[in-house]
Formats: sequence, C-alpha cells, structure tokens
Amino acid sequence: MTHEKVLDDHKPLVELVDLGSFQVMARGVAPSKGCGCTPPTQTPTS
Amino acid sequence: MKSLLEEFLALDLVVLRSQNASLLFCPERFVLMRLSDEGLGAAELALSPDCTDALVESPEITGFLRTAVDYVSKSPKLKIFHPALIGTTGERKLLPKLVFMVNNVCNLQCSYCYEHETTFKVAAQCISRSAIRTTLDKCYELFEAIETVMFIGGEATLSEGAIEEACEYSIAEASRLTREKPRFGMITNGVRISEHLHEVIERYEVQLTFSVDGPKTANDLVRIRKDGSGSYDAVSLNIKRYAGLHADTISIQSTVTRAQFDSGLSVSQLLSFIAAELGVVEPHITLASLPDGHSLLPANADATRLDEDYLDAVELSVTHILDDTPGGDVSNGGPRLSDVADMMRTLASKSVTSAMCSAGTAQLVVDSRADVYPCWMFAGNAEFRMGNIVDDSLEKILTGTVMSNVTTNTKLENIHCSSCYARFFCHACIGNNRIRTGFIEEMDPRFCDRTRQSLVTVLTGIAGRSALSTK
Repeated sequence: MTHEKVLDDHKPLVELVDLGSFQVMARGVAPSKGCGCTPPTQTPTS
Repeated sequence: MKSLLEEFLALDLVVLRSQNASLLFCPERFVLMRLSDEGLGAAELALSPDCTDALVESPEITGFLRTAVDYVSKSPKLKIFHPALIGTTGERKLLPKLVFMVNNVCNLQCSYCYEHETTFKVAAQCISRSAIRTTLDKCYELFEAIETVMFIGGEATLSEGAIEEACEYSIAEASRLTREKPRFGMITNGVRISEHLHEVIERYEVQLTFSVDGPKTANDLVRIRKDGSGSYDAVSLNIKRYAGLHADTISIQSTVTRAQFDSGLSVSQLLSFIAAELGVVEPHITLASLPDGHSLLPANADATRLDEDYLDAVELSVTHILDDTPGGDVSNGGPRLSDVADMMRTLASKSVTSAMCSAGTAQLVVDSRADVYPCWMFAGNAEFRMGNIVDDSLEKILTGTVMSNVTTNTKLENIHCSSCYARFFCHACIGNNRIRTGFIEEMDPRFCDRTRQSLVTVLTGIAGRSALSTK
C-alpha cells in the first residue's frame, strides 16, 4: 500500500489508543491476595 | 534546538508487533498508539540507527513524527516509586513485610525445590521464641509498623508454636506501642494443618497461600512425600476447608516444570483446573527456574514449546479479563494468570517501582537460626547473610554490603532492565536469577523474552478492544 492510497483512505499512520475505559475496567481487577513475592507498589514511608 | 527526529527519538519509543497489530509504545509514560502499515514503516525508519533528518522529510512521515511526539508529550510521566527500608531523612518507615522462615524442615521432598541444596543440608531447627521476640522488638524499635508478618519454611505448618508466638507477640507489642497491627500470611504446602493450627489461623486471620501444581496426576509427579507418595489428596482437603471459610483471601501458587508438560497438562489447563476445582481464578503460576541440567528443566525444542504454552495462557488470561466481565465486574471473570492481571493493573495505575523485587526493598527474612536475608531464597547462602537478628543491631544489618548489593540492582540501573520496554511490568526475581545464571544481576534471557512477549500480548489485546482517542 502506498502513501497515496493511505491518504485516499484517510487512514492515519498513527492513532492514540484511549486507555480511559481500560483504566476504569482495570480498577476492578482486584490486587493479588497472596503473600508471596509480590513486588513493592506502595510507599513504605509512614 | 532539537530536530523533529531528535524529539521523536528522545521519547524512547518502541515498536511492538504481533500477528494482529503493530503498536508504538512509550515505556516511560505508558502511551499506546496503533500503527497502520505505513505508520509501521515510518516508525521503523525513524528508529533505525542510520536514519537522518533528510530521510524523514516527506509530509507523511513528518506528520507521523509530529503526531506521535504530541501524543506522548501530552501524557504525564510515570510516578516511579523507589522503595527503601532505610530512609535518608531519619523518618521512621513502615516495614512492608517481615518474614519468619520458621524452620528448615519439610514433610515433602518436591523434586524441584531449591532448598535441597541449601537449608535442608544443615541440622533441622525451629526458630526460637526468644528470636521471634527479639526480631519483633528490634523491628518495632526501628520501624513505625509492620504491615505483614509472613510465615514460610521449610514447611511453616510444622512449627505452629512459632507461628502462634509471632502472631500473639506482634499484636501485643503493636497494641502496647499504639502502632498499627500487622496482617498475617503464610505460604504452605497444605499437607498437614492441625486442628490447633486451624484455630490459630482463624484467631489471627492468617491468609494462606497454598502450593499445588495441578490435578493429582500432575501434582503427585513432583510434590511428593519422603516415601515417594503424592500429596494432592491431603492438600486438596485443606485447600477446600480453608476456601470454605475464606474464598475471598485464599491464594494458590503453582510451579510448572517438565513434569506437567510431559504429562500433557498445558498451562491454560492448569489455570482452568485451579479455578474450577479449587475456586481460585487468579493463581500465581510460574515456570520453574532450575539450574541447567536439572531433570525437570525442559530443554531445546521442549523449552520453546513450554514458553509458547505459557504465552497461550497469557492470551487466554487477556481474553478472560477484557471480555468475560459479567455485570461489568471483572473480579467475576474467567481464570487469569496473576502476572497478566498485574500487568494490567500497572498499566492502569501508571504507578511503578524501580525495585527489581521485594527482596531487601520491602521485606526482611529471619530464618530458623535468626540469620537475616533479603529473601528466603537466599537462606543458607553465606554470601547473602546480612547478619543475625539476635547478635547484631538492625541498623547494622540494613546497612551492610549485602543490602547495598541488592538495593542498588534496580530496574533503572541494571544493564539489562534499564533499556527493556517491559521493565516496569516485569516481576523479576533475583533468587531465580542466581539459580539460573549465578548472579542476582544476570537475568535468564528466556524469562525476559517471555515477559516481553506477555506484555505485547496484553497491549495488543487492549489496543484491539479500546476506542481510539479523538483528542
């Protein structure tokens, strides 16, 4: 496919994926419950 | 003034390709872009070492570069958390996890267990009550609170007196000092849990993580007793008893070796089995890190097939998380690998850590001899012994050479991680590194490739299902 064909189709070369709805959904993925080797994700300062 | 090409290159972007899509990803800001075929060509041209400003002068490619730069520039940088047990400003910190390795004995002799070469070689010993109290005294002196007290062995359930003592004394001390009380957790093979230990588990709300490697036919190939008999029947009974009371907190971890692979059990089947039979939808399933030449380590073509098998389970997990969301509640979705769910949580939160793992950065381990290590995987290795909790001050233990070597090996400093696009999604394990390569800083390339391919599967799955921004 040539650039001219792309322009004809109005198909952009790059498009931003909107992660907004994914972020809302992913908040519902509960954090790991296990006590194994979970990496640190929260600040340990009090 | 930077040229447009230089601006583009400064963003540290990477092209990710799968069968279904081509993506442009910014690991420093978690910006995800979809590329057309021409966009892919433009991106690869711009990122090639030989590219010059003159080669990207066409209106299409200039437009592509400008758009990509704008998308990324508008997105905030990640919040990078640098965990450390000792602060630089003298503040009293939290200890996220204190681990008591309460003994160095086990009622199983699992074929792949690394402790056969370390802690099981020395005389059996249970941690003393005085060592438990001294540990907690010193931790409450140095830290504001302990978030989680965790028990492991050997096999922790064989030292229930030590578990009860640690729970009781830490609660009493936290109350006396008006500090936040710790939570409790235990990793167990689940073979033997006495009535008294069940009562202790209920009294202190000890969260249990069971190790089980599949259905009886697969589990009993490797998780065997001293007489060679399998452990599944006993474990499954204890899992079901605990799950009956704590379906919301039970966790399962499984180790995959050549045994399951040769028996025809795929990782996806293992995932489905754990959900259907044991009620846990997000188990922690890992491929075993074993030294070269180990009989349970798949070799050559089998190793490649096992990696592909794992990646099939990643794909299944992505589908279950993104598509099977009854009532919009993803916690009710189908089974998924915990590592895949963690990748999605990381992407959504945009909050990441520079730490390789929790060893020495969020946890301390005290073994049955009161020796302190950054992780239980190093117990019995003199070169990783940080000191003795009874004989040494905790400040001295935390400022020694071992601690320095572990905490400076961050994802930002490590030569392999610092340039890897999956660095903030990876659950690296310095204990596994040492088993596979001899050094905590040296990764197993197969693990790194598998992690990167998992991330590509996750990002491709999201990009294929998400709307495109109109901004």
